[in-house]
Amino acid sequence: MRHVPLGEFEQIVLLAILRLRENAYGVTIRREITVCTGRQPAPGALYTTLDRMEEKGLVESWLGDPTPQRGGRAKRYFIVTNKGRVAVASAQRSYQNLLRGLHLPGGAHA
Amino acid sequence: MRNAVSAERIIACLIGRAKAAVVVGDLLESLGEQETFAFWLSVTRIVLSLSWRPIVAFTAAVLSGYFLQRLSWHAYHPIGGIRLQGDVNRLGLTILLVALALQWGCIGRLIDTHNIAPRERTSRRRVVGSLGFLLAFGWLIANYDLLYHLGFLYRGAAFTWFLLMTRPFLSSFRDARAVASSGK
Repeated sequence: MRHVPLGEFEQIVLLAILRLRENAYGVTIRREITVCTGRQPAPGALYTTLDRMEEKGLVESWLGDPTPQRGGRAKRYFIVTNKGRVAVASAQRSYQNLLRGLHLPGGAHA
Repeated sequence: MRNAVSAERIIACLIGRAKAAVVVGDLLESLGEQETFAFWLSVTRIVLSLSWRPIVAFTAAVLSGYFLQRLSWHAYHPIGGIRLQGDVNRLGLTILLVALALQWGCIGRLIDTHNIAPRERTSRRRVVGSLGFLLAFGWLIANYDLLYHLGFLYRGAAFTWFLLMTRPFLSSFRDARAVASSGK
């Protein structure tokens, strides 16, 4: 499988989707990122990133049923494809390799 | 008062109706009922986030076209008198055509990249597509007599330019990939 380079925010979004399993859509992805990283991503940046990753084949999306809470609008659910899993694992391996042997404050990478 | 339908229409201009509905639905769900200011602030941020790249890219492409034209001016001096067949600098003409072809190809690519939302076949899209196609095709027709006197290579470059110039507009006739509408 061809290696797909990922940006930092792309990795964060992919990992958030993986953590959310079947319940990954705009609101929950944003919330998960905020909880886990302390960053509150701009909605526009998140949607742009999700669209770009779908174009790359890293995620797939589908529309759920409309809900009254959302004014009768559907949720767009996301799932990470095999290609996305490989890409994020590869990116994380690179980070781990770079961290190996470093003694950073608060880290356990010695 | 918050008007979700208006917000949806504004965002739909950038990413299509289906995705705009999803975005506004997300905002309604996350902001609750009363936060009108926060809602419109979020809509504004989303619109800016979705639109600044194509605007900057298009402006840069147009400016680069202007500078390319200026650069090729000396190589292709009779740009204003393209019908002076004996004076046509063929090398300059080729450079100009290829540069413009690349420029229009890049614009087309940018338009495709940033408009990946579902595109329904609407009358407005057909009109825009037809006008764009005629504009490019008109250039080819208007310069037919010039091309008639040029060699195969130059005709090829001109035809490539025509194809690349029409490509962004041809997308107005087709349906882009839509978000799947059924649950998995």
